[in-house]
Amino acid sequence: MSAQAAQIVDWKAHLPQGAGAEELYKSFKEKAEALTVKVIRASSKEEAEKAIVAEMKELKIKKAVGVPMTLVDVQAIKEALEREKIKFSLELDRDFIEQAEFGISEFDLGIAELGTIVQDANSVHKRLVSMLPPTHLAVISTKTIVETFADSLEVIEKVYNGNPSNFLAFVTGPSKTADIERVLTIGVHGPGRLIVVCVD
Amino acid sequence: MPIDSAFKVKINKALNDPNLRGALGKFGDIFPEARANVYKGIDFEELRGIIAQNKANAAANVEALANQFVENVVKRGGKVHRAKDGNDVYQILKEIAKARNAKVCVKSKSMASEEIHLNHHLEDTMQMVETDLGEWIIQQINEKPSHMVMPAIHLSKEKCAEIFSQALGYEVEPDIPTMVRLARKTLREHFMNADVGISGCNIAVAETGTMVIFTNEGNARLTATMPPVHVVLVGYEKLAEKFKDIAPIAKALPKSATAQTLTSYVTMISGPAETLKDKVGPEIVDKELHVILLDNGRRELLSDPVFKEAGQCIRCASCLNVCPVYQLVGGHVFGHIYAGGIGSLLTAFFNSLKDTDKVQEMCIGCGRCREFCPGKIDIPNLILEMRNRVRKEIPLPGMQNFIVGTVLRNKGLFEFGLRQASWASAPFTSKGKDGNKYIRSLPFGFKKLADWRSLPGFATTPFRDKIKSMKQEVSGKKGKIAFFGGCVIDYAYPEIGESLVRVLNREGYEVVYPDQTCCGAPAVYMGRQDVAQDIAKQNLEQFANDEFDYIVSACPTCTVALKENWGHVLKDDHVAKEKADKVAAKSLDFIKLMHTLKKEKGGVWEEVAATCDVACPTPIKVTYHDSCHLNRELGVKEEPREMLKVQAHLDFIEMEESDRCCGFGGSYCIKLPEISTELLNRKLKNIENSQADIVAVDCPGCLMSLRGGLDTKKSNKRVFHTAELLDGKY
Ligand code: SF4
Ligand code: SF4
Repeated sequence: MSAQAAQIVDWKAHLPQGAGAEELYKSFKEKAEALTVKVIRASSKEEAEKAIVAEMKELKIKKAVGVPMTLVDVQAIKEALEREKIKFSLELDRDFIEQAEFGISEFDLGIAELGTIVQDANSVHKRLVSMLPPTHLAVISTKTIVETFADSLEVIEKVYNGNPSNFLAFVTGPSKTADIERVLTIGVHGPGRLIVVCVD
Repeated sequence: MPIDSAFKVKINKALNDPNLRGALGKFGDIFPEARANVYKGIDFEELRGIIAQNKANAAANVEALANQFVENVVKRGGKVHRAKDGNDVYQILKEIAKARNAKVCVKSKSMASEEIHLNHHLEDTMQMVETDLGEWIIQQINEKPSHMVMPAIHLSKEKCAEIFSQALGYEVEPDIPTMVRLARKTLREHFMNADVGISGCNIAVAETGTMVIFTNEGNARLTATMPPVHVVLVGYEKLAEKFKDIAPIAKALPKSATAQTLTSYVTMISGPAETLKDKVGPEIVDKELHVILLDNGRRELLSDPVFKEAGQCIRCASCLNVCPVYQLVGGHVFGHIYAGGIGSLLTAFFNSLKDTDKVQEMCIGCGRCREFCPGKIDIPNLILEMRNRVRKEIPLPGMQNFIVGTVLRNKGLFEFGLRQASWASAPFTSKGKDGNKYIRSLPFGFKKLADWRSLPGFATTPFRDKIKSMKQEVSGKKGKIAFFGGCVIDYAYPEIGESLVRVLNREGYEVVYPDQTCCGAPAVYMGRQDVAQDIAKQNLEQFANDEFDYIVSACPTCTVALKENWGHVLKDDHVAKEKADKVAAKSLDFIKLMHTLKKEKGGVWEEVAATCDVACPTPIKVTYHDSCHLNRELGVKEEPREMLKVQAHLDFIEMEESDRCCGFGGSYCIKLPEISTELLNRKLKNIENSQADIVAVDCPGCLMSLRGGLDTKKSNKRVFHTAELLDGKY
């Protein structure tokens, strides 16, 4: 394991005043939805877990993958999914992740003005789960929604004390291209469908 | 020779390619509005001011920033290589590949790699796979990108389907979602197998060693994640000082590039992240991270006293999207990787002066790109500087060089030449529908000049003679104004000058016509600042005179010469520069002067023309065509409209794309008539659609072009200079 992965990162301690305010959530939701992102609000951990299972059921998912998380109990999710006969793996198995139809991971920040989510993605497991399957579900804490892109950079500088994580991912909507005749087409190399669950 | 027949063949091929014209035209039409929408609520001037300042500071400190960046990358465990050119890059990559016994390399988009033709030079070492959809498509047919952001914009979906079918070995329908799905599948396999990933980088932060990559497809993330080795190719001009400097670029780049608020992915790499051992894992190891810092002319560019400004470019390509010439011919005509106006500047440094010789001639100088550039780069004026530098090494062909270098430089010879033209062209002159004299065809090699739009006949008596016999009755005289006529008014349209005199007399000013020669603009546009210096000095002798309250010109190109060029070309001659500054401070374009005089009277807008030459029971519909120089170089946009709107005889209406270049461009229409014709035709269509009877202009060059075009098309619309309209001569 690389040295960075072991480092405990406390995002909450470095958020600007007013982060997570209701109007920031509203703006985040509006901007993300304009990019075809589905935004779900969950008032509790349990509600979030339920919502995640419901999303997979609705999409008739058979194979899903995830990474260890703090905002939801992934074991509880795994058990619930197994009851629904949905295979759910938390293993770092590259080929299984590539075959999976659905990935879930936790993101560290939201940006209200853009509908963007930010993740410390030094962990290769997190990266594979959030990049390879065609649908990704991101869990964020509503409290970590900041207003602007510049705000997010400030938080990052503080969180890492001037030495940003090896790999930071800013995700704004689904993967897309307009390379052929400038026609916007969703889902090239990354997930074509993005769902964000905001946990209060 | 600057523009040769082989180059013309390329231009004509592009102009006759319906796919290209369709794709670029459509995009060019949609882009400005989409961009404006996404910038809503953002102060673009402030934003680009910050970006320009940050980039200029970074350029001034490039060596220190490079050292700091390198130090930080190394501290975090990355390896840094400095490459002075493409050869160095090939060598470095070959060694990296050899050490790993690498077979497959996935690449995400990097203009720097295109610039050094990387794929071609590494083909023998590894299989090079472009993973950006557009790049992958053009790689299959061995083409170069025609646009910095949308590399395959020149291909139709049918053509793409053909390329897919060929590459995959089975028939692929020209259905875009299908093609995108197939590309995902095909390229996924390459990602899983790749040994090395190469990507470009949009920003390299010295303070933290962070490399920032913007993509929409997600291929850069996979390139940085799947293979055990990641190589980032970083140009020196990407260096930024602070981590927070990412924010303004992130705010502008996606908006200016594709009218998006932000690209789907922004990846920031600050060190060797985790990767799977031997590509499959599950054991985790640190990635091998290499950074290649590429020079290839960049350090010279960034330290050049004039062209360092081009280092403020963030490669958004919005200057291409709005350029009327690029919209017509696309990127491949430019011959090198970086197209358009900015491309011709970068090419001079990344390739050579010789390589930019022809392409810099493509710019008509309309200034539209400058309004959009988030790096705040004065592209058209830098191109003029480049032309000047190119012409020092590669002179114009014999005849042109003689005209600029000898005839234009010599006042007497120049006047003699124009007076001769008057009788020499007389046999080819006939009357047009609007009563003006036109040349519709010329013999011998000059046929091309008049084929697509009639030229004005030369005046039998130039304005410089006419004004001598004009009686100026000025009641309540307020002062004296010196008139700089300019060649077109003097020799082709003296009546504009006469109107100007009458209108200004009514405002209480006497108009004098000091001895004068060409304003020097043609010399500047042809890259001969040395000639422009001599011409400016000759004119300053007469115009730097305290008795003039104002100096007026009715040709915006001349006004730009008086207000800007003279001082600029004489900046190293203190005595002459002082005179030039004095002249510049007093010089105004006719319509701006009228607006100023009216405003001085307390903004009371009254009818200017005492009478109207035609009996018109209802007001005549008039529209306005903006001259590029007046609108964008001198910033005069509203004044002519305000003046026209208050005239009781006129009913002002706007036409579509009123500020789009008419294609005249002075010597441009002689140099590249193919392009001028296309630009003019679009303008004529907008005029026809406008419902106006009269087109008002402030530039005699535009007037010449529009009248000629309308005469060729047998149109009933008429074109007048605002001086004529305010004089009631319509
Ligand atoms: S000045 Fe006009 S013609 Fe020249 S590059 Fe800019 S937009 Fe194109
Ligand atoms: S010159 Fe300006 S508009 Fe053109 S690509 Fe560079 S930053 Fe964009």
